[in-house]
Amino acid sequence: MDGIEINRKKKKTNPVAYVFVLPTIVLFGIFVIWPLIQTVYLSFSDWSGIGAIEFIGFGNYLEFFKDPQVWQSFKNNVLWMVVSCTVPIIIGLFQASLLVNSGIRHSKVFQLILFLPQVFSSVVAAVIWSWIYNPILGPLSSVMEALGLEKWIMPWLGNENTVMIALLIMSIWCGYGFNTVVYSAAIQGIDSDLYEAATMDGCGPFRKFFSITIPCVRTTSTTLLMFSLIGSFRVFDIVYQMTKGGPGYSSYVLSYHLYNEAFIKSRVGYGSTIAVILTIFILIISRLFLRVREGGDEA
Amino acid sequence: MKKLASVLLSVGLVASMLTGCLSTGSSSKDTQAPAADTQASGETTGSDEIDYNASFELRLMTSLTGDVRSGLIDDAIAIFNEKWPNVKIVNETTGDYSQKFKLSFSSGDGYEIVYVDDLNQQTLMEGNYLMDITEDIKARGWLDNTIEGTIEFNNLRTPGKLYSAAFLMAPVVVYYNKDIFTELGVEIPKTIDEFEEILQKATDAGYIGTECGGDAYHQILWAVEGMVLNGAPKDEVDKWYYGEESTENVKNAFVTAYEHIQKWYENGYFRENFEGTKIDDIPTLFSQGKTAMTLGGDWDLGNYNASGLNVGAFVFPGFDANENPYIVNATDGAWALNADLNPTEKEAALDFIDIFYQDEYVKKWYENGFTLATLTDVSGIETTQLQKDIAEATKDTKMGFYLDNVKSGYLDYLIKETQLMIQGKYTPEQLVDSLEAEWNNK
Amino acid sequence: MRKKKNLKPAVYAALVFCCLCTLVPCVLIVITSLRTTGEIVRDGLFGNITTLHWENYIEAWKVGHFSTYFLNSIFITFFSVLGVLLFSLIGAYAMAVLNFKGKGIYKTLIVMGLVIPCEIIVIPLFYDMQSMGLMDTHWAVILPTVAMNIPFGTFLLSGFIKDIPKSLLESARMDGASEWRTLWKIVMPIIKPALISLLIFIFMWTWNDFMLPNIMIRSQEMRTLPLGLDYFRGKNTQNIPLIASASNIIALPVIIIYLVFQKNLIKGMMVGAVKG
Repeated sequence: MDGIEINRKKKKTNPVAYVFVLPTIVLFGIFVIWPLIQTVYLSFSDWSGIGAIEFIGFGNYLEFFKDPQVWQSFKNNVLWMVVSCTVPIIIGLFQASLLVNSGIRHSKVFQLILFLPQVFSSVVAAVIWSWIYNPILGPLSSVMEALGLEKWIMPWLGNENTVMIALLIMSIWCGYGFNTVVYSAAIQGIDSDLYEAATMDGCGPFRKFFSITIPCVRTTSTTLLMFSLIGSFRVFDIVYQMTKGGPGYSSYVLSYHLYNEAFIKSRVGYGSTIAVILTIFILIISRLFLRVREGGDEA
Repeated sequence: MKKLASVLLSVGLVASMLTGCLSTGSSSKDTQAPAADTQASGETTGSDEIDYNASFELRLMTSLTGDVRSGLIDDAIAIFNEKWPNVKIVNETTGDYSQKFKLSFSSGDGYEIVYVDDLNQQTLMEGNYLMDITEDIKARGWLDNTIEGTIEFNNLRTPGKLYSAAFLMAPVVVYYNKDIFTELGVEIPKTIDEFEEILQKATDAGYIGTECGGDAYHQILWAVEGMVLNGAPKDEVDKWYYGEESTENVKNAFVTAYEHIQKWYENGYFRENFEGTKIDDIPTLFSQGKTAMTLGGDWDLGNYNASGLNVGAFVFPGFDANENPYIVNATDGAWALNADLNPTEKEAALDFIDIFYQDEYVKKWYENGFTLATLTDVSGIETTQLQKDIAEATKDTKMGFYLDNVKSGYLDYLIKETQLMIQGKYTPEQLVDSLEAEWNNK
Repeated sequence: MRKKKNLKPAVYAALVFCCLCTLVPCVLIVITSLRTTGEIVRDGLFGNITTLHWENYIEAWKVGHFSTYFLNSIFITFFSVLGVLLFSLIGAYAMAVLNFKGKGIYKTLIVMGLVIPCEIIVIPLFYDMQSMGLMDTHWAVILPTVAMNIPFGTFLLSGFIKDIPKSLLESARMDGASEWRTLWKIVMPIIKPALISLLIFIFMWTWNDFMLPNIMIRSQEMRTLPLGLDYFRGKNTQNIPLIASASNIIALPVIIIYLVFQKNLIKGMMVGAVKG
C-alpha cells in the first residue's frame, strides 16, 4: 500500500506522520501558541504589568500606525534585512567552500575560529566593539590617525548617520560563523563524485564552485536566507547592548521598540500590539518566501 | 494563510473573553489587600506572643546587585539569624528587579521584603501591595536615627503615612581635578555662573571642561535636573514630580537649563566626539588628566579614587550663592514589607530591617564607599579623602528628586530627546515641549 | 593535481585573513578578562599591560556561585537539546517527506515559531507556569525552550532532508521499510552533520539564554550560569573584567562541545561519501 505511490506530490495522507508531529504540536501549542493568544488579548488592552488590565479595543493599533518610532524602526529593520541576507551568507558560503573543498589541513582549527563570535555572549561582544568604535580610546581612531585620516574620525556609535553601519559591521562579524558551519555541513553532503567528474572534465575551482557547489546547496541557502530574513526583523541583542536605539532614535529597531514600550515604559499592552503586528508581518513575508522556494522546488 | 491569521485572531478574542488567567491574579489582590492589616492567616499566632523559633521563609527582592552589596546583605542575614534561628531569609535579588516585582506581586506571590526606589514604590502602592508601617517605624526609632527627611522622602505622596524606610543616599556630585583648578586659579564654584566660568577657562587653557557619556547622557541630565531643582519653587517641582501639575515655572526652568546645556555644547566645553563614548568610559577619560571636572554619583567613588589623580568633590551649584542649593540626591531605595505578612513574619521582617539602622552594622556600608542616610558617627572610620569630601560637600544641601524617575521610561525618553537637541534637531523650547507631551501621556 | 597545489597557498591566505578578522576581537575579550577595574580606569582597556590577572577567573567562579549554577545549566541544557533534537528530527521528516492532511497548517506553525519574539510571550508564560505549578523548577525553563527551538530545528533539518535523493527513500519503501526504519537507518546517518550542527546551536543558545531563566527561576539554587553575571553588575557600574572572565567561563563548555562533536562532523562526511 505504502510503497507503490512514487510520485511525491500525491496527497495521500500517511498516518504515521501524525505521530511524528504530535510532540511538536503539543509542546508548541501549550508553551507558545497559548501565550501568544494571551498576548493578542493584551494587545487590546492597557496594562502596566501590575494592577488591573483595562480593555481599550483598537486604541493600541491606531497608535501603532501613527507612531513615528515605528516607521523609523521599520526602515532600520529593512536596512538590516538587506545587509544580513547578503553579506554574511556570501561570506559563509565562501569560507565553508574553502574549508571543505580545498583539501587543506587544519580545517578544523579554522572552522573553530570562524565560529567563535557566536560563542561569546552579546554583553561581552558589545563591550569590545564599543571600545573598537570609541573615537577617543579605541583602535579604529588610532589606526585612522596613523593613516592620516584624522578628519574622518567621528563618534561612530554616536552619530545618526554612521550608527547603523557600525552596528551592521558588528552583526556581520557575529553572524557569518553560523552560516559557515551550516554550509560546511551541507557541502560535506555533496556527492564527491560530482567534483571528481568535473575535475576530469578540466573544470577549475571557480567553475566547480559556481556549477556544483552553489546549486547543490540551494535548499540550505534558502534556509539560511529565511533565517536571516526573520532574524533581521527580530534583531534585538546587538541594538540593546550597543546603543539602546540611540542616538536619538536612529538605531531603533522594532524589537527594541517593543521591549522599550513593554518593559521600560511599562506599557505591556502597546508592547504586545507591536509584537502581534511584527509577528503577523514576518509571518506573511516568510510564507511568501517559502512559496517562492517551493515554486522553485517544483521546477 | 491570511485566513489562518484571522482565524487565530478571532480565536484569540474569544479565548480572551473566557480567559481569566491574567486578571485573576491582580483582581483578587485588590480585594484582598485592604484586609491585610487585620489578616491573621497561616501561622497560629496569638495577638502578642511572638515565637522567635518559628520556622518560615522570607524572600528579599532588592535593587542591591553586585557582589559587594550581596555580601553585605549576607552579613545582615547572619546577624538576623542570631535572633531568629529558624527563619530563612533568601536574597533573590537579580537584575531587572522591577520586572520581577510586577510579575510576582500581580500573580499573587509577592516577595515578603522589598527594597524599592521611589518609582517602584509608587507602582506597588497603587496595587495596595505594601504594608503601612508608620507606627512600627516610629516605635523602633528609625526616624531619630536617620538624617531628617530621608525616611519621609519616599513617602511624601502619602503625608503622615510611611510605607518604606531608607538607609542609603545616592547623591550626585561634581568630581574635579584639583591640580587643574590650582593651575587655572579657580575655586569651587558657588553658582552656575561661576561653574560656567571655570568651564570657559578650562577650555581656553586647552583642557576639557567636562565629560559626558554619549550613550546615556547622564551627566547632562543631572546638570539639567540640578538647575531645575534650583530654578523653580520647590513645591511646584514636587507637583511636577508627582505627576499632578506642570506649571509654567517648571517648564521655564527646564528651558533655561537646556539653554545652558546648549551653550556649553556650542562653546566646546564637552569633549569632542563625546557622543561616541560610553558612560563607563568617563572615569578612564577623566584619569587622562585633561578634564577639569565632571558630574558623577557616589557610586563612582571607587573609580575616581583609582584614577591616580588629585581628585576632589563638590556639589553642583544653584543659581544663588547665598542659599544652600538643592542637589540631585535621593534615597537610594527603601525597605518595605508585603502587605500580606502575618504578625510573626512582620516582626521578623522588621527585625531584619532594623539591622540596617544599627551603627555597628551599617558602618560596613560606609566603609565600602556608600553614603549613609543614618546618623552614624563615621568620624573614626578610615576612608579615602574623596569620600570625606563628598560627605562634607553634601552635608548642608537640600535633597532633590532624580527628576527622571517621574514615571517609567522617562529617563530613556529624556536621553533620546536630549540627544536630538544636541544633534541640532530641536531648540531647547521644542525639546521641552516634547518632554511635556510625554509627561502628559498617561 | 597540480592545479590544486598552486591554489592552496591562496586558500590558506584567504582563510588566515578571515580568521584574523574574526579572532582579534575574541583575543581582546580574553585580555579584558585579565585586567582589573583600577587598571582600566588608569590606563584604558588595553593600555600598559603589565600583569595578567588570572585570579579573575577564580574570583568570577566563586563570587558568581558558579559551582551550583553550573549543574543547573547542564541539567537544563541537556534535556533541552535532547528534546529539540528528537522532536525536530521526526517533525522535519514528516514535513519533508511525508504527506498528511494539515501539512500546510503545520508548516505555518513552524514558521510562526521562528517568527515570534520571545520577549513578549514571556509575560503570559510566567502566569501560565504559575498556574501549572511549575514555577521555579528546571522544567519551567526546559519545556518552553524546547517548544521555542523546535521550529528552528525542524526547519533546518527539513532543508537537509529535502536534499536527500528521493531514490534512496523510495528504494527503502519498496523494500518494505516503515517510515520509522527509513528515518533511523537511512535519513539519520546522511544528515548527521546537520544534526550535529543543530546540537551545537541549541546547546549554545540554551546555555547562554538569559531571559527565560531570569523570569522563570527565583531561588538561588536553581539559577543558571548566565544569571550569575548579575553579581558583577552593581548600580550604574559594571565590573568589566569580571564580567569578561565570567563570560569566558560560560563560553568554555560551548567550545568544548563544539570540539568534541566537530570530529563527528567530519566523520559523518566520510561515511556519507563512502556510501555514495
